[in-house]
Amino acid sequence: MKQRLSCLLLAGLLGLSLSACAPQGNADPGQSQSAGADGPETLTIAVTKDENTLAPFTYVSSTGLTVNRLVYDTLFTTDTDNNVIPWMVSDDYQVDADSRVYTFSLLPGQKFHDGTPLTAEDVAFSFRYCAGQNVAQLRKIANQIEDIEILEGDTLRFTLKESNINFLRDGLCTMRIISKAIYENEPDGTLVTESVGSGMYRLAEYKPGQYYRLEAVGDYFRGAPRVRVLQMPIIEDPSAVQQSLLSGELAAATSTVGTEVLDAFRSKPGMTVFASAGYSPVMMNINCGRAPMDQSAFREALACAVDVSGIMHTLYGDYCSVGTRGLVRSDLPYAAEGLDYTYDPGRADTLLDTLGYTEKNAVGVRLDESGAPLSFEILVYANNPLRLRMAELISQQLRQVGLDLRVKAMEMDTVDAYVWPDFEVSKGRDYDFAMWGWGSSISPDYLVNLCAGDYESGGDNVCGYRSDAFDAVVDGALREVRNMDQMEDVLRQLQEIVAEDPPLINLGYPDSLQVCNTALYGGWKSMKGGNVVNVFSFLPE
Amino acid sequence: MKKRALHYLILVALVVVVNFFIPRLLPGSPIGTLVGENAQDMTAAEKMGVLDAYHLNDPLPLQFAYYLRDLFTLNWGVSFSRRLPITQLISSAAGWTLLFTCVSLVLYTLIGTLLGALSALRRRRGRDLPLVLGTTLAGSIPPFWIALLLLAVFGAQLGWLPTYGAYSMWQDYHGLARALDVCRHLALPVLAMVVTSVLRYFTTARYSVLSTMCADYVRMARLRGVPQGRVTLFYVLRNALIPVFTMVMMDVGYLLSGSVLIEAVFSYPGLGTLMANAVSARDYPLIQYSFLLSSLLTIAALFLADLLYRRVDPAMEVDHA
Repeated sequence: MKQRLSCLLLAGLLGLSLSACAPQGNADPGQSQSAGADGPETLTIAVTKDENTLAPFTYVSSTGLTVNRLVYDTLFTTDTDNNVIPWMVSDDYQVDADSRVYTFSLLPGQKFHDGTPLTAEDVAFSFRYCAGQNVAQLRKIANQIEDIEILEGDTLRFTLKESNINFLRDGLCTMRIISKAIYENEPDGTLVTESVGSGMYRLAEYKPGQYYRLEAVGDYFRGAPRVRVLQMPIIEDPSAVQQSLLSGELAAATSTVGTEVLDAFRSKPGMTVFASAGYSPVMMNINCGRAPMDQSAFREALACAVDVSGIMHTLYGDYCSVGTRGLVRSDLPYAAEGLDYTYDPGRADTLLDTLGYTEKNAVGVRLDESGAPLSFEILVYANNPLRLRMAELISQQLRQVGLDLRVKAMEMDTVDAYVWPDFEVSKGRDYDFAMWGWGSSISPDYLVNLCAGDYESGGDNVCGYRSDAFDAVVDGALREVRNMDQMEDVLRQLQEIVAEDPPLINLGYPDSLQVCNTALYGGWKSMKGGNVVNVFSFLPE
Repeated sequence: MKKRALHYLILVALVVVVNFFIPRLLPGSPIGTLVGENAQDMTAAEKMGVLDAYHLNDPLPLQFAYYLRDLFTLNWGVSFSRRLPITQLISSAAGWTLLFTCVSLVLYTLIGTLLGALSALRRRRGRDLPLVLGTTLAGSIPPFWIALLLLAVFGAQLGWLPTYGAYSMWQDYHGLARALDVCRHLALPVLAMVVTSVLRYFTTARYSVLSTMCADYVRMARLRGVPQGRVTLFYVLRNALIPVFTMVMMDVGYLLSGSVLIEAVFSYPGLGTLMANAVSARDYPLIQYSFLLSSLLTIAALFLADLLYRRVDPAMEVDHA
């Protein structure tokens, strides 16, 4: 009897485990999600973080920007191919030859969700108001503006303090337009609890920590959205999101999925995996200010010792773009050619020998001039298994050339505090190596922010990289740029410089993989470097 | 008793102080939370201005004074990360956590204790092996793993139970329908919690019953011819439950902190998730007050246990005297 009971218990647990791994059956997609001819009445899409009221001054992460773009419009936007297109303004906008004066007219029929018409006054107010708010990204955009004039009708003229060729993409595609009537009497935007935008959806309900409910704006100036209601539960755990997608409770999620679960989704009828080019780089930061990494030849040895392509393909299969020494994605129009990494441990050995690290200890680790082993730490976010695996692979490869790299997993903010204290590169850094990433690398300013020695330009220079050649181009040729062709030439020069004198190891760009239930709704539009949850997915045909 | 109460008051004072320093000892700063992503877009002076506005650049004693003032005036302010009053955030999350943890506590205490006692009573006949094996196996499974397993099987695979939330967000249920809906959402988190927590009560109850069964007064009762059922119920079980009572009171203290991992997997909107997110956002006020409440509950539970011990075990009163 007792043996039978034991066996039953064990068998039950085993059965539970096995059935969790088995292919999914056809689950009931939920009664509220009935597909119609022009799209379903309701879709349930998971949001992976509580982004507060979705207002421009209270969102907390890029997920918030994704969702709040449905509620708040921008003057320009990026299309599914990541090209800048006018959104709230007419196509005949003008940019002067110096990229300093921008003139455009608002399209007619735009309204806020409280029914008040959106005017040029609201647009001008949005920029002026953000200049005094504590949202770094919006404040930076607003502070670039010298003057905003409201010309006749709904035409505006923006004059920048300095020429900025990227202002359409970095500024006007990002700045959310807010209602002057709602914000003008509240100096602190975070205290406004109403979330009234002019986007295609209005925030009908927000339950902190639980969900958002967005309702379509029927008379939206670009046409009524195809889905009337978006139900957005807040589900932070990635495994829970995947299970809810498989169960049919969710139609989509703002988060991406890993390559290891793609087969489970592909075998499920009605589920479609959208793979789009990712522009979020993954890299190994090198503290360029700390010996021996302060030597360019040492960093070059590291670049030769790491099999960049092998690591990326091991972890992401074909769903990635391998990084180059130029530090920008190789399919960008300004990417310099021929800057691929070459895995060459022999050259790494030679370079390290040349630097004088010829002696090794009993376990094969090279010794420095004082006889201490070349032993380092690499910091990694503990909650990111892929980056942990990457660090382990790098550690194994560096061991082959006599360098000891110990992987140290830490809580995210703790790693940030060592690598980027107070998000202020001028405060220095306290690490050897770190697995790192950025939200996007698509802006032409990315390379300058990442590598400029002047921290005012190089606000993202967490490696503490300094190159006279690089800084000379930034201070000289880059300041003279007046059009995109010139900009691209300068960017190629900068890539050649960092390829010769590497500040970090640019491993690559994992594709953005998202799963959507196309049986429930077929209108999903994948965005290059963006999210499937975007305005184009719900825009009428 | 007065001396004991004084000890607890000192403990409360220490907790109040420690709760102020804990978040400030964490590496990192709340600046990223206060200014949003792309904090690097602000100049150092602008960031300092933001920190000044929240008194985060003031000397620590001054910050501590503000903390004490806000604590005692119940003006706990607004969360750095959630931009809502802290009292509102905590009260909303605490309700769900208390529901989840109380139901779990009752179930795993009852199940664990009953199985533990049953196992001890059957030991001589060697019939307790399946129970020992089963509970040990269940208790050794990491909570997040069993939670994922339950989610995958009963949520995704079979579709019997919902996979997220504390209730059906998109349905307007009332009365009994609402209660049933809440129960359906509670089922998987509670099951995960019970499965992984039952072992502690099982082993405590089992060991306690076994040692009580060998006590002199139990043997004496048997020799006196007291019926076996009466011996088991009134001589063994009643006395064996004292260690279980201690464990229950300890667990009552942890009711508010819930189970972060299980809450996270089932997207349960409780205090555990709120506290974990507050720590990663370096949301000082939310960390301070949520941890403080949790600590105070623990102290209160211990104090209550101290008071109740004398009723549960009159021998303690004699010892004390």
